[in-house]
Amino acid sequence: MTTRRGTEERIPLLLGVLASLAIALVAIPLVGLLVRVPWSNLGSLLTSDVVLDALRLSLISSIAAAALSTVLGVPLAWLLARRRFRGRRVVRAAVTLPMVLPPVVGGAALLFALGRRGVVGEPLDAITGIVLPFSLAGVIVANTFVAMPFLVLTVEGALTNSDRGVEAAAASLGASPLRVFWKVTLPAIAPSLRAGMVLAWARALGEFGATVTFAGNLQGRTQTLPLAVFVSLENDRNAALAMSLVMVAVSFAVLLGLRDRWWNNR
Amino acid sequence: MTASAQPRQLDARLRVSRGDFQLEVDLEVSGQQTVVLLGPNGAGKSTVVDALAGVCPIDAGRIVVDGVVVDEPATSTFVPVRQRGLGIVFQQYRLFEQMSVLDNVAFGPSAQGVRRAAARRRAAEVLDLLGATELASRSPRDLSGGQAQRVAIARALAVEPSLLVFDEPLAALDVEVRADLRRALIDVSAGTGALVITHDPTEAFLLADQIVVVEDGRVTQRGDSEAIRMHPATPYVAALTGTNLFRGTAHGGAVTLDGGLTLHAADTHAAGPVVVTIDPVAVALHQAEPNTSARNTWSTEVVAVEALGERVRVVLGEPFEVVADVTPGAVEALDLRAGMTVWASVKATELQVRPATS
Amino acid sequence: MCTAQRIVRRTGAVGVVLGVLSALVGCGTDSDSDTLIVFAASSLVDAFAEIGAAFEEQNAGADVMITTGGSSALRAQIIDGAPAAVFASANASTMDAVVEAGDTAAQPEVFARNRLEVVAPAGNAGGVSGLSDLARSDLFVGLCAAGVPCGDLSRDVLGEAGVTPSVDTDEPDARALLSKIVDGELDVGLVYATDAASAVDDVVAFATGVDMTTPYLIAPLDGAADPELAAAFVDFVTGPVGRAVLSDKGFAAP
Repeated sequence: MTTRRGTEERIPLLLGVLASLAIALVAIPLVGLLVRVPWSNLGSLLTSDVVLDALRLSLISSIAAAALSTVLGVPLAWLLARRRFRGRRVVRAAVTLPMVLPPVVGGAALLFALGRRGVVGEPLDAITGIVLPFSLAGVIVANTFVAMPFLVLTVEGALTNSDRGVEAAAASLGASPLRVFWKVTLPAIAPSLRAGMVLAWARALGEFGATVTFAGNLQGRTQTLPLAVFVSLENDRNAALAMSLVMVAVSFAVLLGLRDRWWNNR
Repeated sequence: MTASAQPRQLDARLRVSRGDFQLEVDLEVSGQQTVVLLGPNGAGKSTVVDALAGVCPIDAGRIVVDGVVVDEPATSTFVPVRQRGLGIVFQQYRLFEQMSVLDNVAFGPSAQGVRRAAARRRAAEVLDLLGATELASRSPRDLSGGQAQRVAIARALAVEPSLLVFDEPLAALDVEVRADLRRALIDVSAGTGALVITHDPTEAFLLADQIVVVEDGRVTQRGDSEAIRMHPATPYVAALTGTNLFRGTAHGGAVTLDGGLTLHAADTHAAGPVVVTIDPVAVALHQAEPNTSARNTWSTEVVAVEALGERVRVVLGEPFEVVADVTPGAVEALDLRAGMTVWASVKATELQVRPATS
Repeated sequence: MCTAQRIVRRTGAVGVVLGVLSALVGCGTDSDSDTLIVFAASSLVDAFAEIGAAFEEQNAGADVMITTGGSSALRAQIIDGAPAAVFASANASTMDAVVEAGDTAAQPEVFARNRLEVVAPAGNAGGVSGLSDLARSDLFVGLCAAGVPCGDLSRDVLGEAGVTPSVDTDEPDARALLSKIVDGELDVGLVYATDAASAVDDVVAFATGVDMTTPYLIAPLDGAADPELAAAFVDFVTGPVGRAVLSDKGFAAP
């Protein structure tokens, strides 16, 4: 018992130092933010129309993007993990591209494809009258573009590691492939699916570059919190700090509540 | 067996090649028969399971389940496993951990279009049949190995399959659970045809109406338990059944074993290469050199002593490895222990000599 | 176009780092070559490149490094100690902030003016003809965001003309707005005349009809490694060569 306590208490010096540096790297900028926040008139800053509009749009667009990422990304992850087809490697690389691409490049690419003069956007406008740029739908598309890879990677990893034998058993009992997927595969990877959804949501919440490039910036219609912060930094630093605080608080609360529960219950 | 008018539950000619490995196995299950496919690891048993379960299509031959061709390369026929009418009990149970036991068993009927309530009723019936009603609301995660296997059997049975396929059904279980489950398994497969794939001879002899022995991708012997036990065709089968089997050369009433030792046999007609088998019961043990009519006697060392139900199995070492089955009384009288020296004797009439080509 | 704009910004940031590095290296190793780091508002990028080259020709040994960026961002870097010798800003308030922070003792000088123009993409599918078209809800209308110099000027111009714009996007900077107009994503917007001139083949421009301009100010900074060279550069910009180049790029006289 005493030896066990002893080994548990000892953290190797090197690991301890490096881990402390890692904590410092994340914590110090946050502290810097907190120090500068104008606490005295925080209430009036946070209840301004700009902030409330941005908060509302951020929540709507990030949740919608996480949902859209799930609806489209889970089948894609399944396809990548479970089916061999020509060009699978290329598709896999392409899907994760938005993770490494500067978001503004992604936004520009979206504009060239889905913009009013885009390859797809122009006929879409002509036929259906749907215009994505400068609309909330455009914000959601841009958010999904950058957020979906996080969901696809997480779910694909889970599918690759999950027990195929159980699926074979379900098939032997007469279940169609869709039924196997829905009733057996999906429940088995539920923890990873939830983790992927949280990651996608978090990424969408912080999205700036692709959104401003593709969907523009208009208070109440397309201006999410990151856009509002960016614009305010130019002229109203206090408002920018107050909104930054809101983002940190909302994200931190969600991650604190979900991360341990959803990552560790496998 | 009144199934003569009905198609066989299974009629399979399996030809699969995977690199150097060639599988060539014919299997038939008819009526309410239980056929056991017995073989050592690497013999191709899992290839057979994969072929039947549609995981890997066969390269040649054909698989017919209940009169329906489900896999035949020559006619490009391939029916996915879900339409093959098989109830497969997998080695690792493969239960759905996110569902209750009842829903696991109801899964098959539901998948086949039975309404939820009816599927659950059916599941409850099957669980009852297997004496597992009390497990219905449990999670598969909370089951012991034996319970999980029982649920897996119930799940396979619930789809009313034409044929039950058991992949190593008891291998993963401890001894006590095995005996219990074995009885349930016999009850269950009595209602329908069953194919049991196993490397465990005890299981094979207890369950089988017919045993098919596979070694290195080929069938080396088929027959009922008795025939296989009495006349093992290969050293593998002999070792499994506990029979002593040696190869040697016969010449006028004597057999010179490949190891160099010569034994006397009653059969004076055999000549040339032969297989000699000796029933372990026929090997007698003595404290000193016996004064007996037995024509084969030799001094040897006891390598191991193992209880085997009502008998005791004694493994003897140099000059050649033989097992002897004796009564517990004899063990006590001789004070048999590993490492001690004893005398062994076998009557010439107990040597079964067959030509080696069979 | 949007990407190009971003890359300009990024090279701006990289340029600061490179400028600092080369300044340090210059101090340490090469005393003959005299490096002059100029921070200039992004709308000046083309004009200052030409002026800088002409200055180097006239001053043997001088090495002009021009770093462009948003006026506010450059202001912040100067106040945080970036080793710039000259600052050229796109409005008065950013220059005021630099003066207040004590980074220059000189009197900033207005060296050019810029005005806004109503700009539509080539082809003018929206049938734009003037400032009043910004009020049309059937068009996609873009402005610079309030708080950045061109955004503030836009609101002053619209207010003066009594036009209430039907805005679809407040772009964070003038170049981003221009690129969305060039691409045809926006039907009309208000951008600097100099920006419109730089994209003359891709846009059609109309006068606002409102006589309002924004001043460009320049001043040598106290942190300059060679104050005389910095002062000489300021004189050069405000002198005849600078005037000619600026006028050529669409800037109005001070």
